[in-house]
Amino acid sequence: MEKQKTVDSYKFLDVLTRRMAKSWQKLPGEPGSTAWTALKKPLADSTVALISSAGLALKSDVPFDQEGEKEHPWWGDPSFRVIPKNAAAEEIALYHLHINPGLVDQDINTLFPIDILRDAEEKGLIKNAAARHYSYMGYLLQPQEMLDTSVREMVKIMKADQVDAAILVPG
Amino acid sequence: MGVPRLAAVEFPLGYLFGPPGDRKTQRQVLDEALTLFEEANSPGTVKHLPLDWPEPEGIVALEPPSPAPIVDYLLKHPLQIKHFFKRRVPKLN
Repeated sequence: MEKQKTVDSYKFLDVLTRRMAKSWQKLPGEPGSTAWTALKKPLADSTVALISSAGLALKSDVPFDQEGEKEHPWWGDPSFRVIPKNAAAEEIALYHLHINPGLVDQDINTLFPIDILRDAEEKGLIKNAAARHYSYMGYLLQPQEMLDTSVREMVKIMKADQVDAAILVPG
Repeated sequence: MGVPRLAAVEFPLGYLFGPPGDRKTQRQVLDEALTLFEEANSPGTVKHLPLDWPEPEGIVALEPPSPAPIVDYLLKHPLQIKHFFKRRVPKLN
């Protein structure tokens, strides 16, 4: 019988980060109910995209603005990047200043399962990994600009790629 | 307001899909997240994955080589920490 487990979300956080996370969780959130759209077709017929908040970008693309954050530590880059489905790990860089960029060199799938999602496509769990995945900068104390600009644009591209579902991966 | 569906895994940030090179665990975590699209039938559904972090050795640390700019700033301006905890961002110049 599979063991029951209740995940401790704070287990691996240091004391300060834990306090910060708990403090932010208590802040009043956006009014309204939780968004919900049921999957309209079987998972095996669905196209799935990944969205990472780890500030990933192709090395050939414009980097996220690290200098802007260094100059204004309360600010985060509100833009996003597209990561093609078949991008190799060595083509991708991590620009999030709160995360070790070496994680990508070690094994990108630990935080952005781009290869593993293709495996899911190969074994028929999903119909397709989306042609394009996405990444944005998770360090955004004021996310409204990202929501108004980047998210709208990501949704447009996902519709063009006929994406049925997206997995948001924290980083 | 919350997220529509959440697959919760007790792994460190940076390693949410599992240890480096551990394809079996990585596939398991992703597959569990994918099947949640069919299993969940109400907003806010949380699925707790029954996986324990195996504490692999020799892996890259999550922390960046230098402190993040806000960490550096708050160490120099500790009175601002209370504002950071409330996400009260000062007006940028």
